[in-house]
Amino acid sequence: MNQPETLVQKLLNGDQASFAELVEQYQDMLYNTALSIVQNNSDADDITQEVFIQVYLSISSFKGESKLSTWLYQITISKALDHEKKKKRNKRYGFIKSLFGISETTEALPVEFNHPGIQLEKKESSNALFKALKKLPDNQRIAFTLHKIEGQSNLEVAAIMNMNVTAVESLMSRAKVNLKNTLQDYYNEKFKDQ
Amino acid sequence: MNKDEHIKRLIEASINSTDGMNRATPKPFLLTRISAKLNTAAGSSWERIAAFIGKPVFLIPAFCFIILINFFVIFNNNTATAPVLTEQSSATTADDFSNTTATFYDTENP
Repeated sequence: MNQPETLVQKLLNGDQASFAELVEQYQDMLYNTALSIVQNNSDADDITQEVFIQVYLSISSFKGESKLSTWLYQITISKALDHEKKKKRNKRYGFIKSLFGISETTEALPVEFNHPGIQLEKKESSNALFKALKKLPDNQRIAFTLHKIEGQSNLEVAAIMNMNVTAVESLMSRAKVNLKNTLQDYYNEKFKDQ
Repeated sequence: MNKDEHIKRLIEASINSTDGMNRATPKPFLLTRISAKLNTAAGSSWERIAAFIGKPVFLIPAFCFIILINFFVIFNNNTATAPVLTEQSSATTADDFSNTTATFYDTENP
């Protein structure tokens, strides 16, 4: 297995086999990040493909100032957030589009997202967490996803999000407070008759 | 255990529910699908040009440019077709209207 620097160098030289190796090495990482953000398997798969296509087409713009994984995370997060915005926009203007006969196949959002990697006994509590995550501001959601779900250190999260470690720590603590409040409301509603 | 305490525990369990989770894997043959998309993307340069023309970053300035040209043409034509006022002397006016009578027939010398 090649080191990331060697992989990048080989890619710059147009080595097709190294692209296959890059996909093999990073596909799970990128897919999981996209999945935690968009919370839809098929959308996450599309985003992963788009990320690798962009990497293939723009590898020359990678200067090597950051780690390859940092650059890949940045592209994935940007694509996943764009995808979410596009989906929201389509949903908002869906009625107007239907008036003009522009039909778009918009699949209905699943009510509950089941992350395939979650242990069976934690499914219910993780459903509540992913629902609450959707309500967080983007930067808090990304910080929480990278740190808690992807298991990245605060330093790495800071590099990915282009901010300092203190700012990441502050984002994380605000994210936790907001998540606790949302979950409190969720469980209060769930057990209000008991 | 009262309700509040139970909810507190559930919240903590939710926040920590991703601890020890396994990684999800994308659908099989990801590389094949990426290669297929790459081939399609590289296939037609006309499609890329059409996609660029369809982008707002091109459309909006192009639309403004066309509107500007229209204004330019309209105002330019107005000034070009305005009547040109020139001073005319009575002599030139007389020439223009041929105010002199023809003297082909001299009545004094028949």
